[in-house]
Amino acid sequence: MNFPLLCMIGFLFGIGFGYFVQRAGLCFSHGLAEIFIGKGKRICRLFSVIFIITATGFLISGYISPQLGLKPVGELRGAGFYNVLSGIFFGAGILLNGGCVLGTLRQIGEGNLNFVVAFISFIPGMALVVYIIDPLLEHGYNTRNILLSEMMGVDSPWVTGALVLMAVLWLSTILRRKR
Amino acid sequence: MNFKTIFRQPTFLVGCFALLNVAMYLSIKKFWIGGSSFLPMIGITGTENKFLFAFIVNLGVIAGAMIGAISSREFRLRIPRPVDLPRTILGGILIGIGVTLAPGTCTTSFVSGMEMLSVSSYLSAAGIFIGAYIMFKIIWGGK
Amino acid sequence: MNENEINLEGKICPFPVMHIVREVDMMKSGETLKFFVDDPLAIKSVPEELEEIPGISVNIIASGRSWEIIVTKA
Repeated sequence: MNFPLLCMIGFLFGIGFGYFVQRAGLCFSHGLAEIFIGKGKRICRLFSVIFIITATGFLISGYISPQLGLKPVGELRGAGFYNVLSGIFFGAGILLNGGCVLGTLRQIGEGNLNFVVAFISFIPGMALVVYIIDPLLEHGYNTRNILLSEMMGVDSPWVTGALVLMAVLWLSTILRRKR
Repeated sequence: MNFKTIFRQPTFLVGCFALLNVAMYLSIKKFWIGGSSFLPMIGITGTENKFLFAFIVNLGVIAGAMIGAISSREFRLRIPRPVDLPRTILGGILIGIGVTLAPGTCTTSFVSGMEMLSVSSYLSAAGIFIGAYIMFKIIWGGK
Repeated sequence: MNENEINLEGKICPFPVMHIVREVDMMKSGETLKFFVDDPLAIKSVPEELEEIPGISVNIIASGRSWEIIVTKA
């Protein structure tokens, strides 16, 4: 499949993502704020729905074709220290900005031009790291990329199964209390 | 809860979002990634242009959000107010740093990273909670 | 704009929701508060967040460029 066609299909999937995220009102920065003020049930319910469906789907994809299956996302940098550090920057940034990545894209689509400004101000942040910090820290990155299942020495179906089961049980307790 | 209201339930809509993620992976062997998809803006398109692809998907997300907003009459053009700009710009810079310091953060962790059992995503997610809590305390701790 | 109407237009998420939840927590019974918001996410998440508080009823009316979230405490 040539690249332009792949991008066109990706764009169509993107439209689907954007539509559902907008209609559902899914935003992790908003969700984190909800959790901190003790109203986290909504975002935890939405997250567990995402987790149950995608974790199961990704696991099953491994049996459909060898090219698919569980793949580590991103890199483990400096035995995980930089991952946590990048998360701290990210968490602080999304709460200050008022939108995570999905939230920023969604709110641009909803007409809030503030998030176009946020979108553009990603550039200095990224450039700062890629062109200044990365060269300095290069030795610090012993990048290793492993899955949770490999780290625990357990087959991935068990790990995914356990996590999905926890999410299902948790989801059912929330829904039962609601009715 | 008749059929019509189920369609507008956030849980159902997020379920469709998740199913679409799996469908994309099964069909074109790509899953949605958030942060590092903005690297093409500083000239990095990634091996086999994977970041450029993710950037185009995210442009689709903007289009899809616009379609959703207009179709439900929630589209409101809002011009940035100067008082909000410093907060937005600093927030954007912090996100930019977080995205590239270790790829695969935030939305990628919550939407595909943790589901792929990727250890880096669990660590990023932990960091996100810490960073968000610190900022939460800074902004709203007092009141 | 009398005293129990609060204008949160133009405020960026998550500020509206934070403000609303704080105000509603301090509401006395029989009181009615009206919030003006223009953030589409607020009108989706606020009803659900306030649902758990006993005696609270929320309804949302679209008015011009923004929405009115009317919260009454029984």
